[in-house]
Amino acid sequence: MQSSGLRLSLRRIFIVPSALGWLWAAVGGLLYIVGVNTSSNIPLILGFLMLALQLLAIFLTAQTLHGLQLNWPTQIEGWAGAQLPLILQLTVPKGMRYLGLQLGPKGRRWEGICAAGMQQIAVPWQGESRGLHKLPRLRIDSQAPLGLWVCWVRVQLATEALLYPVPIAAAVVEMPWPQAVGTQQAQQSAEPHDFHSLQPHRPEEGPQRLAWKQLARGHGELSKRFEAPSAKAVLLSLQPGIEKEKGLSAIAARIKQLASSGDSYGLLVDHIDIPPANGAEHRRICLRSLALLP
Amino acid sequence: MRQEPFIRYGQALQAIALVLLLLPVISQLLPATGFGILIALILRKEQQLKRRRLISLSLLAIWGANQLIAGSAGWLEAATNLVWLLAALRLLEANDRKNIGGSGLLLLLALGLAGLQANGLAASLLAAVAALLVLCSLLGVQQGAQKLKVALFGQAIALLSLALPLAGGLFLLAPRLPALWQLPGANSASTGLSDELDPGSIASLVQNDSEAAILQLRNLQLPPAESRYWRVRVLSDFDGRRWQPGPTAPLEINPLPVLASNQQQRWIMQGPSRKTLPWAGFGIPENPNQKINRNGELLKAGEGPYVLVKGNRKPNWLSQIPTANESQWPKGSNPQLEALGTQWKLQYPSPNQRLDAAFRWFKAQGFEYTLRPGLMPIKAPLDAVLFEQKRGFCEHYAAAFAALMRAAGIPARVVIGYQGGEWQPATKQLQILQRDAHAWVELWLPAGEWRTVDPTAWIALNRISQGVSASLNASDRNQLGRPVLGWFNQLLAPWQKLDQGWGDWVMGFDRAKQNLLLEKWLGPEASYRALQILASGLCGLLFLGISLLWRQRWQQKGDKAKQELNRLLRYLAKHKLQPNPGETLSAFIERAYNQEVKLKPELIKFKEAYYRLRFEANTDKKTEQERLRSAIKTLKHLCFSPQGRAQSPP
Repeated sequence: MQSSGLRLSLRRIFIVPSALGWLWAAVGGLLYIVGVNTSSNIPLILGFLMLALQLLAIFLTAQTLHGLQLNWPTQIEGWAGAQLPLILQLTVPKGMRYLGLQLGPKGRRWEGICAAGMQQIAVPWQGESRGLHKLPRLRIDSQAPLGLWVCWVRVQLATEALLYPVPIAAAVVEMPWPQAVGTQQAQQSAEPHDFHSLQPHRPEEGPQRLAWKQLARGHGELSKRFEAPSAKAVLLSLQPGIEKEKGLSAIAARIKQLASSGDSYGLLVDHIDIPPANGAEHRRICLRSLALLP
Repeated sequence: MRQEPFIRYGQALQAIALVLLLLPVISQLLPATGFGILIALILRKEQQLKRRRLISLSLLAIWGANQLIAGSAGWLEAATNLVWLLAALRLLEANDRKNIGGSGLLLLLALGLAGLQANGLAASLLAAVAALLVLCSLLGVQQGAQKLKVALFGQAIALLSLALPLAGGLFLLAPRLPALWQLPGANSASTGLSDELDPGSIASLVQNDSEAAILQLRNLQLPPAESRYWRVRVLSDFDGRRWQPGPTAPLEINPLPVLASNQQQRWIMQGPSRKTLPWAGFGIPENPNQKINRNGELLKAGEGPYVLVKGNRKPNWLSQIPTANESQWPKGSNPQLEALGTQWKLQYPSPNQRLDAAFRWFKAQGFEYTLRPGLMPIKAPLDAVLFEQKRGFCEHYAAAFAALMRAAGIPARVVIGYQGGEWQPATKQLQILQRDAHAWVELWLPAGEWRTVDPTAWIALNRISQGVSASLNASDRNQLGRPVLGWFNQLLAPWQKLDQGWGDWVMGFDRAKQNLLLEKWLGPEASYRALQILASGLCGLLFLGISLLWRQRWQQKGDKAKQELNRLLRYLAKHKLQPNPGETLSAFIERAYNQEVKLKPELIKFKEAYYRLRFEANTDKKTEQERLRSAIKTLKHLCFSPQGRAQSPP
């Protein structure tokens, strides 16, 4: 997958006192007043020391984000309405630090410890509608070393998020294929997978299809074979009279279901005409075309 | 959120810091505070938030109830104790990353307040270690450390050593504001006499063996020990519990022109600056601006030593007729004491007889002289001293006796100051320590003058003739700063010297000393110049920091050739030309001039200069850099001029 990156430099770093920093300054001021009022030097020295630490912390805090190398993928795909992890590659030059990452003001915050070296961080993001989205700006922040200042950078990632329609199960038109061509014999999908027969198990079918009951009884490894009652493959199409987005959501949900059971399906929506097939790549093609439908 | 492993260590570090900071002030802890802190430290690993809150609240409630019922503490003492308790309770709550910062901060505040009570070298060192531990906990949490490592302490020490010069500069140079307001009882705790007689204020001062003042005598006899009373402040306001200075009396103009006399008392103050100064109660200030008010208080007039010349007349203040304030009695505040006083008033017509009766009564009671009389109740505290506990320190007896005399109809007031002092034969001066602080009483007797009466002398004669430590029992003596064993003393001598130096130079560095020092260094207008130095120093540090950061940025940008290359890439990006992954510079440049033909000569010039600069050993770097720059200049012109763009193929 293509990716691009950025090395954070001081030009991009913002820094303001954290809540603790404000309190820290207030306590320092209080100690100064106590020291002055009681002509007692320990509170005075402590107050000055706290001020000095706070000034010092400005530079040290800015330093924690300096030189971080950030790499991101150019495109991510996933369902709309669900948390979609953006896998970032973060290279920390040296030392451990506690960082927070967040996509956009509404994104869910990732917080954690980043050690020196390269690491992958999944920053969650959620888009609400299908289509091609530009990701909001990524905010990386740190409060190290003392938690007195928050410094952050905002990075505009060159990442596009392709969101599939939100999968919501509803009625879709399913046409048997290849018989479907021309017959327009639509059938409501209720329970299309009926148990058909048992056949010798092939490893590529995976454990999902293994007939465990028979295996336990000592009949050897057998596979359950399911078949749609009327056809081996279906063409999915929009239910007439239903709102387009809802229809697309229903198709997406159906695709999710069919793909997980390994059945063949195709699409016939608007100008999209994808002949039935199965497999991960086919599923992706179908969902992408649903996502990009105008 | 899952608890990070370091949070537990951070909490433990802060707990140790709390214990360390409380060690020097353990005698100042109220029992309820001590109990609360102990429970909080024991239960600090409690996981459930609800239970932790419950523990905190109940401990706080116990503390508050205890204060309300027993409540003998002065408000500064109470506030300090409360902060200590809160620090411990916060620690109980500090088991996630947000709270641990807050509890660390509260610990620092607690540390500063503990510094008010104990500022010897040992206490200061403990405080420094405690601060270091707090810093470690903050560092560890922010770094996401997994466990406690030695490196963390190293980092904390490095951070402190970076901050210390700045803090030291501020300490030396930052202007010391005069006290914004007077904290009642605040002075007493650490460095000097307070302006009121709050129970326990002198008892805590007695543990302080720093120097208060030095008296040098010229052509004068040293008065015998029992008449060395050095008055500082007169308290005539009594509210049934506390003695405070009365309304400011009008100043008395010095009655006589000062005669040049060679019989002088020369005083050098060592403690913190104060408004009224110790003196013997007789003599005339050499400085005509120095006034004595009608209470017999010597007012401060400028910094430095002051001199009293022997006068040949009784001082005027002695015969000032008492004001209404000085015989005022808060009825019903201490009923038993009031009953006794009233009885004497009816029984004996003459005030002198009443005084005699009081003397006999005091002698007969078997009062005990102790530093630790225990807490006094809020209601009728002086009744408790005289009739129940029968234990106390000079302040208790002075306060109770003056009250008793007022109840008996004799105008009375409390005087606080110093009593005694140690004669130094080598330097021929009398050294007065803070522990010589004392309180006694003045009565207006029929002779028409104020007479000094010291009830403490009736109870513990040794206190007056031999000093505090001679009059205390062994366990009380341990409360005094200085160990009593001779050989032990000698072993400790170097440490004591250090401790004294710390007290004199660091803890005693006040506004006056700062002014002296600055004037010595910077001459006149020193404080203004100090501000200038401070401001320029801060600016310099800021500049240094920023320039360090800039340097890093330059390093990151790479050398000259790399910078020029980056510029070229930026220009070419305008024509949608970007190097593909793995594409070499020459391949990219070839692709570029195939697309933008007019750039070809400059691009080739650039590439050759770049390669020579990078890879050829014997090149004239300056010439090549110059070539690079001129190529870039032309390229910039070609890439950005509208003419250049128009010519380029689409």
